This record gives sequence, C-alpha cells and structure tokens, in this order.
Amino acid sequence: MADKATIVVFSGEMDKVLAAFVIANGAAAAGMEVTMFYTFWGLNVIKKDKGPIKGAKNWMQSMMGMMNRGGISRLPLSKFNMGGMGKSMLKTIMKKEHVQSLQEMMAMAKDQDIKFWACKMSMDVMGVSPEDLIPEVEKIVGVAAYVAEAKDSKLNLFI
Amino acid sequence: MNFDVELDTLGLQCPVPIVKTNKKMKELQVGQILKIISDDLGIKEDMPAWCKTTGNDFLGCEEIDGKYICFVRKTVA
Repeated sequence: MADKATIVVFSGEMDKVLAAFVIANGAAAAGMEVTMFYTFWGLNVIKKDKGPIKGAKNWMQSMMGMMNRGGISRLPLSKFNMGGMGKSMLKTIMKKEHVQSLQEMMAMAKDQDIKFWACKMSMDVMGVSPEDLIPEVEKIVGVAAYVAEAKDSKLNLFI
Repeated sequence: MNFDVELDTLGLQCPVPIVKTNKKMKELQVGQILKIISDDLGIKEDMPAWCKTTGNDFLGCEEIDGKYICFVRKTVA
C-alpha cells in the first residue's frame, strides 16, 4: 500500500494555500496517497466563488458569509495584501517566474487524485452548506475521519 | 548517456517538473531510462530525492549551458 500524506488546510490565504498545494502535489508525485482536509478559513479555498453562501441560518452567518466570500481566486495574501494590490503584484511575479497559479495547482492536485475533504463542524459554524462547495470536494467529514487518515500518514501538516 | 524517453520541462517551476516526471515514468517499462531536461536549479537536489522516495535509480544530472540534464532508470513497476 502507498504511504499516506495528510494536510490540514486551516488558512484561507493565497500564499499559505499555495504552499499546501506545492507540498500536496509533490507528495502525490512521490507516489503518496494525499488527503487535503479543509477546515475553518480553509473552506474558502473550496467554496464556489459566486454569490453569498446558501447555508446561512441567521443574520450573523449571512454577514460572515458576505465578508468572508470564498472561491479560490478571492484568497488574499497573509502579508502585504494592501487591498489586493500586493496580491496582484505577487501574481504577476509568479507568472514571470513560471510558477503555477493556485487554480492550476488545484487542477494538478485533482489530476493526481488528491482527495479534498471538508470539515463538517466549521461548515456549520460558518453556515456553509454542501451546495456552497465546489464539486471536487469528495466528502464532508468530522475529526475522526481526519485522525484515521493522519494515524496512517507519514507526512502530516497543518497549514 | 543512452535513454529511452525524453521529457522537456524547460521553463517549468517546482513542483511541475517532478509531477511530470512521475507521470512520464508510468509510461516506461521497468529497466528503461528517462531523460529529463530542466532549467530549474532545484532539480539537481529534487530529482535524486524523488528517486529515493519512489525507489527508482538516479543516474545523475549534468549541467550544460544553464540546463540540467537528468537521467533516471525505472526500477519500480
């Protein structure tokens, strides 16, 4: 059986998520069976990027959903975002240096059969329903499913 | 060095050359040699490391005019 790798994607920032995707793709290329477990702000990576969330159950969740719009193309930088200016500069530099975009990294991850799992508890907290997530998400799980994967993993990261 | 299949990864950044190498190796028979061309300095350390994790034979990387030519023999089916 192949070695496993598990990555918890807690952050919803472009630079951190980029690091997660590089490691995930590298591990998959080394023959490892990779699972990315998206939780809390990380849910923004796997949210559809149009419209407000449909799962909001009260005004607080609606407001949170409005301020915390998801979609992989919307993720800000963790530093020097400067209202998106910093991010757009970084994207230009990345292109110049031939670094793949986040979207390309995600497509590569799916091409390499990397599994995307979403955390049910944070979905409930943020009012995110299954229909708010992109179809690439395979399962909606709890902590036990993550622990079962992590227990068998040789590589386990929290990003 | 003799080789069976060639893979051009010029202009591609980490992790793409390794991902493409892994894909290409699946098309090879055990015993065949893959030649990888890259202009990413990182490949010098990454290719032997990838071989170590996957169990394939790293035959070496040579630098010619800013390009790195690496050879890998497939030993794992």
